[in-house]
Amino acid sequence: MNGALPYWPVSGAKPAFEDLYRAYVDRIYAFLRSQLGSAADAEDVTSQVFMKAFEAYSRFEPRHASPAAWLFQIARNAALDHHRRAGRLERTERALAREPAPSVDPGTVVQERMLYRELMEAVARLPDRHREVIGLRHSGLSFHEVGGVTGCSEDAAKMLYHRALKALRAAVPEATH
Amino acid sequence: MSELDDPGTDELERRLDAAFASTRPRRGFEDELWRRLEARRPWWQRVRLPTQRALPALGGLVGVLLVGFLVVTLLSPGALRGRGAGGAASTTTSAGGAKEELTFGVLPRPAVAPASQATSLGAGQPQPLAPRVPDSAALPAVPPRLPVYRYTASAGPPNGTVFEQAAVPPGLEAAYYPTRPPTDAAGDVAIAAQSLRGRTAEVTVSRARIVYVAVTEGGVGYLEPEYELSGTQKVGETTTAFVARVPALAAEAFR
Repeated sequence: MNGALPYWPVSGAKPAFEDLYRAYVDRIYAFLRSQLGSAADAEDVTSQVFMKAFEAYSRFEPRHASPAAWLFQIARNAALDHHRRAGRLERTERALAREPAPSVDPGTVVQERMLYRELMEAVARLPDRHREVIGLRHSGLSFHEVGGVTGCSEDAAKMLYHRALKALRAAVPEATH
Repeated sequence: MSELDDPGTDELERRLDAAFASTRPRRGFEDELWRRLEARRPWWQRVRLPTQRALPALGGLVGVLLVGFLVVTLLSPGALRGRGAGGAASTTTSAGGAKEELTFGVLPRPAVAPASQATSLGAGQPQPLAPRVPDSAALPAVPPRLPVYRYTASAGPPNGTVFEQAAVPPGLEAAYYPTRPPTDAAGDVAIAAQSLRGRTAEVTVSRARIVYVAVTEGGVGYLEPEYELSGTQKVGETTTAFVARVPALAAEAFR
């Protein structure tokens, strides 16, 4: 799994918003990148997610959902809205065609491109439910949380995830080599 | 992680983990977005005192006594003025602190801790020891007067909000009020500690600094300077750390 999610030791504790932001901004970005296929769109929607979260944080009740599940629920909704607005297929194709070079050091970019870019793009091309469940699971959410965010049971989330893996493996057979 | 007994699937999951872990926004994005979020906050919510974050950790190490405003509970304005050496010191540092010169008028005192936490000093109780302020203590050089800021309460920070001195925003209406020295404020802490414990407490102040505290009354808010004092108090064989805030203004500034 993609590392342990940040943890606040007191059950039901509500961290300062800045702490939540710093802990999750990278993960939300990676999740959105896998959903949208484009770094530029992922940045835009990440900004929207945290703006919404910022506005709603006073109403967030940690007894009802973990901070991670709450943030990823907002991110999932934002990604769906983005797809609805633009038309998913058109958006994804356009994004993949004009994928900009990230402004990180060249060695990292080359390595990421070689190893992972194709995989993230393949995830972005999956059907909605498959794409979501892979994105949420590999962002560090438990199956219970994935089910909560996507509106299904934990068992259904597991089954859906395994189907999504098979579909992804079929789409990028080289990834398993 | 996989429940599928398939090496190919395991490898795919490992690559997905690595792909998600290595996918990060461009350098600088995190701070840029945070600045945009900060800009959406009211100015009084943008400041977080380092001590507000550090106090929970301190609490786990020693029995931190947050005296806070308790001192104010114990000391009425009259008591402050009539407390001997401390009171005298405050008047000597308050350059012409006559009430008629106080531009905003006499000020409301900061909110106080519940009175039930305090035990008033009775006649039969021992008098508090003078606080110890060693030469190594870090005390600020406080001018004879410090600004007090006034704002409309509904458009500013709520009562009790604490600010770094440097974080008070520009543009607020200001008026200068007479101050008292930090050693005088340390005397208040000694009295509070004595009262809390009901026994002789040896208070040692190691650090003092100026912070600003929001005090609202009616439709008006003030940012008033206070000393944030830290150090230790020893009662018997037990030594505990404390952090206390006490007014930095001379007694005549208050009602």
